[in-house]
Amino acid sequence: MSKKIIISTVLLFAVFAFMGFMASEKITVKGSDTMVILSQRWAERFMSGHGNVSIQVTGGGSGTGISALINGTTDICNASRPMKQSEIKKLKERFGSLGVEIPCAKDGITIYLHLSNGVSNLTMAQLKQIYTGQITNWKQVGGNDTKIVMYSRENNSGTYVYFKDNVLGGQDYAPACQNLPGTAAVVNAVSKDVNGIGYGGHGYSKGVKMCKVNGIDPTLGNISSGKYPISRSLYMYLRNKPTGSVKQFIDWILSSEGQKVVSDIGYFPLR
Amino acid sequence: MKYKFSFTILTFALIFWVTNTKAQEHEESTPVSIDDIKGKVDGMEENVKELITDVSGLKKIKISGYLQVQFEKSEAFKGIGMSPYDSTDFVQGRFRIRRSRVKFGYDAGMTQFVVQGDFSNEKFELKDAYLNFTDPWTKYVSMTVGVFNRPVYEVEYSSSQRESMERSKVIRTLYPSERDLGFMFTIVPEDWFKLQLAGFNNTYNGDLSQFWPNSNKAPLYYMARLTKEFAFTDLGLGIDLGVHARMGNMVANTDKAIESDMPGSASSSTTSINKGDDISRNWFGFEAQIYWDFLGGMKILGEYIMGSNADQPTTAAQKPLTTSIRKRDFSGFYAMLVKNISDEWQFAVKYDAYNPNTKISADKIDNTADLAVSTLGFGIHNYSFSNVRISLWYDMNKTTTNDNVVKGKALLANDPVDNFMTLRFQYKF
Repeated sequence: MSKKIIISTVLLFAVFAFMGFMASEKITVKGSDTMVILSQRWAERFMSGHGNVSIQVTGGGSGTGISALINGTTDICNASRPMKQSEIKKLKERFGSLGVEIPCAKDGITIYLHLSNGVSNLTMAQLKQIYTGQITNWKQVGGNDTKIVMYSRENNSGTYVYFKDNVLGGQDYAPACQNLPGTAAVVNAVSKDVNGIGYGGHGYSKGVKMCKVNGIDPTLGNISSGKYPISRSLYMYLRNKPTGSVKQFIDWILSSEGQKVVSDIGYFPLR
Repeated sequence: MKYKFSFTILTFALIFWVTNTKAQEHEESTPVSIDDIKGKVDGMEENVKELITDVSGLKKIKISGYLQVQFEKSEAFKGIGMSPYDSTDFVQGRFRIRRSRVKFGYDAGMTQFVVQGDFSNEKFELKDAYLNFTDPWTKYVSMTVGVFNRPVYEVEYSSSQRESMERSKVIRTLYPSERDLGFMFTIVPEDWFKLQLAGFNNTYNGDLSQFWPNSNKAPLYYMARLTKEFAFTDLGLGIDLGVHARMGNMVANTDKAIESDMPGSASSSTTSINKGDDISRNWFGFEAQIYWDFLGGMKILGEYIMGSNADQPTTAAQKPLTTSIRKRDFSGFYAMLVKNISDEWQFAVKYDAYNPNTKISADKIDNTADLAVSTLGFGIHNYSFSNVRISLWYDMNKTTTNDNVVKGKALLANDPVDNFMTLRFQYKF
């Protein structure tokens, strides 16, 4: 029995190895909602010059994208936060790889306010107090005597995690905080709510007021220099070193042409 | 003409009535509409907040599980009890449900609750039942209390992830059923290192209701494990290293012992000891896991454990025994290579060896419990279907025998014919 099984296994191994190294021209990208529009533009521009490559981009949040990377259901994961140690551990166990982190753009988490809101500057401490429920009225930060309505992302969002870690100091969000399924939904809610406050990627801030943080505007210069206090990198994660069409796509994103798309969308290029 | 006039009057009357009625309706609804709507919106907002709070609470409940159904074919037949799977059922080929587990957890951030049950083998068996909480100040220290995996790499490496079909012989021998009842502190200061300090009941062979004799004198044994991860991201290389130790004695409930350098059969010569003496069950191990992003990713996993163990050949928990305590110095290790062929296919090969008594040369062993065993296993895994892993695995078991042991047991004369093939279907969620 053993000889037959050994021979069969070796043959199967050879067939599977051959199948495994067959190049695929279809690339799937999944993850951060903050990066969906950016990633779609990258895909459109890249595909227009590479007719044989098909790129499918979907959102769902950084956590969802990282899970998909670990489960092998996406080739590239977009993430607006670094991978956690526990996520790297899962990737190591399943694929024997630490993952490849590629910073691809910069972003400043922008604080959205309603256009009619008289407040135009908040400190980091005030933001923390607002989102942990210690400040509940705009009057406490120099605005009208009305309650503050907080909008946030859901907990599978990298922006949610980044904001929690870097603004709230790891504390939990106030229970009254309303979690919405995407940055566009947060912007939409704030644009219609005179008492609203939200946060998200700079590229989404249309129809809302961008609030200064610690007196600093979320501008290209301030975010690129790190002067704006909630600046961050946006990442692409891969299971292994890129090869073939995936490598071409990544190289193009990091080129001046790809980085110009970053500026066009409202984010900030690496250089 | 008369009819025409009457029709005109009737039409105007109808128009007046309809218009008046609508105007009245409009007048009735206008003054309350804004307040009503605002009130309703506020009410809906309150309901939505309650709903969000409820949904957030539900998100803390985690349910996961996995099912392993397998076809297994063994070369072993009656009279050979070397198979690691079971030694009482000698069917050569069969389907079997190996695991059918569901885990329920509640994760409140800084505190967790976990219960896991196994529904296979036509009975329900409690596997995990523990609570965990983390210190809210540094968040570096957490404590786990209950029934949970002991802190050893291959023990903690779940069957649903492990590439070999079974754990290594040395792990199965030293940590039967993997879990035990006790406590554990886990200390993780940032990414510097991970230290696990644990104490467990001195249970017998993983049976939570059975204790080693005289357990009141040595009610607990203690374990420690220290691990450190090194990442060389430019090289795509990760190296995790660790050590662990198990410290604890069993208390002699008899006045006879078989020393490590003596053959271990029941008729062996013995030495005198005193009841109540501490008999060492101490061992320590090294572990290493290497991950390398080479042609799609690969990893090499290994552990080496050595130390002193002890048992009584016919132990029945808590009963005074007249049989001798058998002291044994042992060693065991495994090494496994796992290579990804693509995102969906994976190949693995593993070698593991266990020598239950390192102080006796192979030709002096006179009982099967002291025979050194090893297994070379290899196989492939497929992940093409969502949540499903299909594995084909072949284990070549080898037992080092001699004439003393095989006397009257012809089937043990050479390496027993007990190779084992497994075709496993696993669903995990």
